[in-house]
Formats: sequence, structure tokens, C-alpha cells
Amino acid sequence: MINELNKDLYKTDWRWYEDGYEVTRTSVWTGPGCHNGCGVLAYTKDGTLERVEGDPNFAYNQGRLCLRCINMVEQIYNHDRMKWPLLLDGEKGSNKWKRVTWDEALDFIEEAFQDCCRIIRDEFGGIGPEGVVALSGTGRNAMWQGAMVLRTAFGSPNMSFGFLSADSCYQPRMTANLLQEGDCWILDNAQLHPDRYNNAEWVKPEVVVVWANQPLASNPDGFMGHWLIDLMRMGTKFIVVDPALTWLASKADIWLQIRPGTDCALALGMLNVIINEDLYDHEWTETWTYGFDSLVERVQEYPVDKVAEICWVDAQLIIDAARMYAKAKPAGIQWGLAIDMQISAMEASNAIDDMVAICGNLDVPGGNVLVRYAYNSSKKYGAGLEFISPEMLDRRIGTTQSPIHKAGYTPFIPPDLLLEAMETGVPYRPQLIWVEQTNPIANMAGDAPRVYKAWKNIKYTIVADYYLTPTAVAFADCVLPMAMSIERNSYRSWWQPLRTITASAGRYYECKSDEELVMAMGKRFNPEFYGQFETTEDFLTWMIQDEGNGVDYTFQDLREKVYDWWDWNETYRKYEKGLLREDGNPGFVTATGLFEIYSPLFDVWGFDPLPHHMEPYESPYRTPELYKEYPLIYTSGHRHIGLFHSEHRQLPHMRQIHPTAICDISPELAEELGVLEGDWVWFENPRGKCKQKAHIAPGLIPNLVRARHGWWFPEEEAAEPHLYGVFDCNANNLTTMGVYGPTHYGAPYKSTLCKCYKVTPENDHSESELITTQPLTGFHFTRFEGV
Amino acid sequence: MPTAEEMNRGFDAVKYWAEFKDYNAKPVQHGLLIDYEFCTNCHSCELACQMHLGLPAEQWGIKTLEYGPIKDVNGKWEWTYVPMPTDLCDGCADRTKEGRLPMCVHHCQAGVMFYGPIEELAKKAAEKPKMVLFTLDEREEA
Repeated sequence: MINELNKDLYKTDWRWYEDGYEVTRTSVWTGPGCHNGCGVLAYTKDGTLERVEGDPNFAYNQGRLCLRCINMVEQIYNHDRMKWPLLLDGEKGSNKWKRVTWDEALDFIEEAFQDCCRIIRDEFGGIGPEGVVALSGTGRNAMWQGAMVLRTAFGSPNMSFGFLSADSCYQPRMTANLLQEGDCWILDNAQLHPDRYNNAEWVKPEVVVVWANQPLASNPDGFMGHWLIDLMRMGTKFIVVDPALTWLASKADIWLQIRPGTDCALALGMLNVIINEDLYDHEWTETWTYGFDSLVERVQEYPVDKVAEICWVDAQLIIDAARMYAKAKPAGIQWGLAIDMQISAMEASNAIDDMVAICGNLDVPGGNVLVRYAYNSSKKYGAGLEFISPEMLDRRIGTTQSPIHKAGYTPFIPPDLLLEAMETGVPYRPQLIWVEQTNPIANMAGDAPRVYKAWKNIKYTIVADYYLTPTAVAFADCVLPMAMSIERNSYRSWWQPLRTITASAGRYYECKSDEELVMAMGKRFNPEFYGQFETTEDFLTWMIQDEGNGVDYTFQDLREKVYDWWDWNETYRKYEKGLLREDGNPGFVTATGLFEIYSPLFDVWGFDPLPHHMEPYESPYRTPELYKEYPLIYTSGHRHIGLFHSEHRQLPHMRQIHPTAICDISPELAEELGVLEGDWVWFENPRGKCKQKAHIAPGLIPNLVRARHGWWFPEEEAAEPHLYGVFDCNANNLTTMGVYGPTHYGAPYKSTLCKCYKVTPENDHSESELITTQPLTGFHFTRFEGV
Repeated sequence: MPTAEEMNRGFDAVKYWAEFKDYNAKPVQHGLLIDYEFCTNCHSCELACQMHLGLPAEQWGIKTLEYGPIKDVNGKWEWTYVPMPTDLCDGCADRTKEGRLPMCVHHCQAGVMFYGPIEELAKKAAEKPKMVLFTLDEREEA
């Protein structure tokens, strides 16, 4: 046989010894990070990591790895890494630091916290601890730790993403799922079964719709993109919805080259075909849905010709795609980030969700399956909420302005309203920002220069990270060095299976894991609670047991199991079996017990209870005057294969593949501007400008450009004004804060306007050096709650 | 060496390979088979190889070549990648003799790379279109 696993060499023990190596089976889920949690074999000698290989005995990745894990050795022994806690030893932005001990750092944090509480009490009439805000990055093994520090050590309720406008990453899609059917779905790529494609119940999807993402590069939401190649090789047909020609689009049976920000219209147009041609699953729809008739009426407002005009997609292709999806049994949808990054995020999510449901693809093999965190071990961004009193919960920033936030569907405060509070001091100005492994001004912050300016008004900032980042240099008083995944003990329960993260390499200098940081902060600030844990492993046991909701064994047990597959997540048609609802009845976790096509909650909250199309905030049709001056559609954030957001820029072996911020422009635009491959170009709109290196990409909508995100330059000057060149190529110089749909979800990161022109010696400059030297007074207020 | 007449008919490098080169030529035993229809250019093979051979950035033991994306004369998009072993590829001899797979094959995310005896790979290559078989350079160092 070819490429068969050698079982003598690749064992299922959690650790073994061979040829002088200690070999440890672990999973890697940050950091440096991604959304996957692939199985890795760490080969160490005397605590030094010498090499890694993919673990062929883990069904999730089956031995495969991407650049991020393959490059682990270069990553963890990189000399740019933080080695000790640092305190600022000069002005903020000066990049002058002094090395301190962990105790000295904690002393500083304690003093800063007390000062913060005093200011909140004296100047804002508050309680005190709410003056602390914790910022988190995207979903990796640094998602619950910041929440635990914030809520259990400081006692503040103010948890937020790092200025990700309108929580525009997976939150809209998840919230739509939670509201319509009480649980989230994912494409069934057999990833829930330990025997994967051999599983007796699993069926290969006949058709997969890859909607608004490029999974091969992004591995979105815990989905390993290359599983789609497995399906492709098994004969699954593909429909790809993407404004750009991705590799998957080039192989697709149908490619819908959509205008960004019009996904809801496209879904309604497809639903129009599916309903009017009677292609939906009558029995399922009659049995399990609420409000179908209202959808039948609604889709009549979206005839295919009208939708084709809105979306810039050929009408016949929309009809073909709708038929192909609806006739396939089963068919699955792999959806992604671009749905979240538009003001119609929630509406588009609902409409796509409706397609899944009425075509009978919900929770069936090879369709879209409902999943929960393995063994219900569900402490994530909401971890520690039980430590917050109702009185303190009422002090959350911005929450009362958004019904969905107020109702508690999300543990986050709205980032846009946090920014306004920082600018205006209303209801109060946060005094201490705790940054747990996020680098907002380089990465996710919309209108990054505005965030930079507002953040300069904040008295204290503490950053926990692997490297000094632009965020740390610009704002931090104290920086804490963090251990990387291969050096730390933790776990992952995101979907399936429950996985150990086992420390295999020795510790780099004085780094602490995020889990150890929670313990250190907990013991200092909340000894009553954290006194019960002697070791970090005890604390991890408490986390995975989740107060009786989770597993009944210890972290040490999990380490030896390595992976534990939860049979609930393997079960199909859970709504039929009474597995979803607490009362044990069949149905979904909704008020009606049904899949709510018509949302009674949306009705109560004053939203349209059915999906509807909204023109992007800035678009050829909503703002035609602006479009004359800025005639290009600007999208940002298409993923680098092998890089993760703003990480990995320090590593020569990553930079050989992704040397700098390389944007995509169309051949037509390149010709018009006289731009050649590799020329630098400016993108500019009324909010700002950035420069990137042009790649001429065939197959783009001619007047659409794609800017890369996350670029900063660790090799350049750290101190302000240059600040690692963080605003030089920053895609978010052009995006917004304060612009979102009526539900407060979805910001137009991927659907705005710009113009483009060549960088010349006359117009070239460092945008970073301009932005960091602007006056810090005044702010520009933007608020748009779209219709 | 080939005669002038033979050269006129087209030089058969394979026929003269052993004579032409200064080493002990044995038949090639092993190869890499690549189902390039599904190579996505994820770069995993390239980097896994560099890590194994300890190569600095920009030095490759295997490198992916690209054709496209291009709309062909029939109006169909083509975007094709083929990973190509370079002179630095040693077939991961130290790994394969232990029963491990070459690093590129082990980590290929699309699962399109196969290692094995040439005869087996040739049979497999015949199973579907768009496969390419590389014979590995198994010469011992002089």
C-alpha cells in the first residue's frame, strides 16, 4: 500500500521515547495560532523542541499540517520573543522598557487597578472595577483567559474583541443560528467522527456551497479548509460564492461572482427559485419550521432578475445554483467571514440558514450539523460571567443600546460603543485596558487611526503577548511575556473532540501561559476563589469539568486520553430525538420549539423578523456621488495561506512566502493605472489611505480591489512616530467604526469604496509617521445603524 | 557516448545516463507521485522540506510551480500547481529507511503526494488523469 501509517513509529500513547527524543502528542491551538486544533507530535531533547510532525493518529488533521505548525521551531526560538515582564521606562510609544520580575509587574497592575477604581468612583460616580476593559483576539486558546482575568480577578463586566467593529467575525452567523434554531451548525465533513469518512452514518455531500470564504487559507471557525479537497476528490460538486477567483472558484461547477455586501439578496434570490419551483423539503418544512408562509411572501420581493442586478451575478447562474443546491441530497454550506463583514450580516445569515433548513439539510449526514462544545465544556468568552453581580452587569458599556446584547445573547460589549465611551467619557472612560493576545491597531480594529487616537486617552494598558507589537509599544505600561502552545498545558473543547494541549517543550525564559496568568492574577486579586487550586492543572480540571456540565475526569486524565470524541456531537437529527431541549422534547431550543424562519424575537426587538437586503453603507447605489470620486469597491482581509492575521511577521521562513502586504487588483484596473506586477499603489477614501504592493489578479470584478490586513513590520523602527510602520500598509485606515446593521451586527470591512493610484517618489511617505504625530484632541463621530 | 547518427535521431539521455555520469548508476527504486489536479499551493511541502533539511529561507528542496489562473480558449478557468523536487531533494532517505514518509508527503494538506516503489506508483498513476511521477535521486554521495 502507498502512504499507509506506520503504527510502530506513530503510537497512540500520549508520550513515548525514541532515539533520544521525548515525543509528545498534543494539539496546537495558539499561539501562534489559528482556528484549527491540529494534532502535533513534538520531538524534544532536554526540553528543547527539535522538530514537529503532524500526528497521523488524530482524525482531525490525519498527519497534515500547515505552515504555522511546521514552522514551530523557528517560531518558539525566535529572538524577538518577549523573555521577561517589562515596565515602561519612558513616554508611551518610546519603546523604552525596564525588565522587572513577575511580582513587580503584578504590584504595578494592582496599583493601576486601584487608581482605576478610584477614578471611576470619583470622576464618573461608578463602582470602580468596571473601569477595566479586557480585549480578546479571535477564537484561539486565548479566548477565555482574558475573560477570566477580567471577570474573576478584576470583577469587571466589560469584555470585548479588539475593536472588531460590530463583532464582525462569526458572531453574526452564530447569533443568527442561536436565534433561529438555538444551536450553531457547521458543514458535515465527517470531522465529528473519529473514523471520519469510514463512518457508517456519514454521507458525502453531493454539493457543497462555499459561501463567502476561502477555507484553504482561512481554516475558518474550526474547519480545516483542506477537508474540502477530500470531498472534491470524492466527487462532491462545488458552488463558490466569492467576488474573487479563488483556487476553489476556479475548480467550482458554479462560481457566483458576487458584489460584496449583497449576500442576503443572493440568498433571497436563490430562495425565490427554491420556493417558486417547489424544490424545498415539504415534510421537513411543515414539521419543523415556524413562519414559512411569511418567507414565501418575502421572496416574491426578490425575483431573480432583480437579485442579479443587485449582486452583479448572471441571473441564469443564480437559478442554476439554486436548483443544484436544492436538488442535491444532501447538500452542505460552508459559510464564512465575508457574510459577517457587511451591514446585512445578520440578515444574510438568516437567509442562508433558511436555505439549509427548508431544503432538509439541517443536522443530517453530509449537510449542516448542529454542534456544541465537546462535553458541553463551554467556558469561552463568557467564562466567569457568574462572578459578576446584576448591579455590575448593568454597568456594561453600550449594552443597553443593543437589544441582542441586552438580552444576553453575547458576552461581549459592543466594540463601537466602547470606542465612543473612550472618546467621550460617556457613560465613563475606561481607565485600564487589559489586552490578552490581541493586536488591534495592526489587525482587527476598524478605522485603526481613530482607535489609535482614542486609546491614547486611556491611562493604563497591560498587554500579554508573545512579542512586542505596535499595540504594546503605542499604549502599554506593562507587557507580560506569554508561553506558546507547545510550551503550555491547556485544552480545547471547541466542537469536536475534546483535546488536550500538553506542554512538551521547556519554558522560554520567564514566559507564563495564559492559564498561569489567570492563576497568578486570580491568586493576587481573588484568593478566596483561586485558593482552592494548588496548581494550574487543578484549575484546568475545574474548567473542563465546568461545574458538572463538562467531563467527570481530571486534566491529567485528558492529557493521557489526548482526544475524547463526544457521542452527542456524532449524533444526527438531534431535534427528532429530543437531544437539544432541556425538557427532552423533540424540537429546537427556541420559544416555539421550531426552526424560526420568522423571528418573533426580532419582532419584539423592533427588527424586521425576516431577512431583507440592505445596500452596503458606501456603494454605487446608496452613495452614487461618493462612487464617482471613489469608483472602486474595497474589500479587506482575504487570508494569507499559512499566516494568521498579524502574526508570524518575524519569521524569515514565513516572509519568504508572504514578504509584504500584497493586494489584488484586476488586470483592467492595472492597465488603466499603468500598474505593473509588484508596483506599489495607494488605496484612499475619505477616512484614510494605505499603500500595498500590487498583484494583478485575473478573475476579479474589474473595479474591485482586495487589500491585505494585519501588516506591520517587526524589522522596522518600533518607537513612535514609526511604530513598526503599522499604519503604512494598514487596510483599516479605510474602514469604519460605528457603522453596522440595525441588529448592531456586521460592519462593512469587506464592502466599502476607495480610489487607487500609483505610489510615486513624489507622493510616497510613511502614513504611520503622519498618524502617530497627529494632534490627539477631538474625534470624528460616525454612527450608522443601517436600513 | 552517442554517435553523431544517434544524436541526429534525438539524444536518448536515459540510454546513456550511466555512461555519461560519473557514478554508479542503479535503477531508481522510489518516486514521488503527485495528483496535481488537486494541489492547492498551500506551501506545506516546501516548508516541511526546508525544516527537515535545515535550509534557510529561499532555498528549496521542493517548490511549487504555477500555471494560471488563466481563462483558456474555451472560456474555462485553469489554475494548476505542480510541486517539483529540486537538486536539494534527497528523498528524505534517512526518514524512509526508518519507515517514515518524506516530510512533504507526510504533511501535504491536500493529500495529493504519494511515496513508494516506482512500479506501484506507476500503477497508481494510471488510475486517473493529471498525475505526475518524479523519480527520486537516490545516488549516494561520492
